[in-house]
Amino acid sequence: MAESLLKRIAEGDTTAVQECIDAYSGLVWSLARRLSGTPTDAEEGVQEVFISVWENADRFDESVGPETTFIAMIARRRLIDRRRRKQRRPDQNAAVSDSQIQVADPRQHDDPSELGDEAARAMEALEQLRSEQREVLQLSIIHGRTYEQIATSTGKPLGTIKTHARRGLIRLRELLESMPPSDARVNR
Amino acid sequence: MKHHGFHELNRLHELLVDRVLQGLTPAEDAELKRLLAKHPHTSLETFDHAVALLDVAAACATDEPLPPELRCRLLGMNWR
Repeated sequence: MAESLLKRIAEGDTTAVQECIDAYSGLVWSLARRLSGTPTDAEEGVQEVFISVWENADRFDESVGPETTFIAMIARRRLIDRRRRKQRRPDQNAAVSDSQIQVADPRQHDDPSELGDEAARAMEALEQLRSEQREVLQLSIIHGRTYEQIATSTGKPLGTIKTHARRGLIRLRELLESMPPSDARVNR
Repeated sequence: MKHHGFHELNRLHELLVDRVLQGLTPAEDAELKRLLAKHPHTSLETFDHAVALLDVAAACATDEPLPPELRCRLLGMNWR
């Protein structure tokens, strides 16, 4: 099996950085577009994310999960930190605008087999949540909305949004843990 | 006592979820660290993996490539 890109980066292989950018830039760009206020902010965010991936490559443990998930976790953390920093120093360009950030809904994906097995299972688990929990998690994770924006758009109190997010994510995690691997389900 | 423990765990989950979905204020971050120290079996990344899987699914659905000039900028950085 080929050595992971992150392992090679951790060992100082600079050619692996280019391969990593080419392999994961779509994932990072998608996250940056969802979690940033403007395209310029998203571009700066992508650069910060790849620096963070490079700095944290030695923490990657393939026995815990795939590289894709590790990079998605680093990217989200970095981009959320950026968003919070911007919220503390608000400027007019930082407001999230629906016209600037357009995100496709993965439920409308034509071919679920194109999603990774685990990501497809996560979408399946999302579908099993109560509708109000699913709505809040979709708006937050898939559309990158803040709790405040979700409260405004749904007309529900902020505390209710937080409760749906917490209960939904706890349930989603339980569902993922209880689901058999995709292969097992296909062969059943 | 049990009641207090339930509320504490609830609050810990709330902070872990907020951390991964919205980020925390410095005060919330300090509170999370205090609670994690009291609940050592709970991982800081309890919910991160599930959210990362949905992030991957959303990225597959958008399939939007990185702008070429941004890619050039990234490749031109000093990765040593």
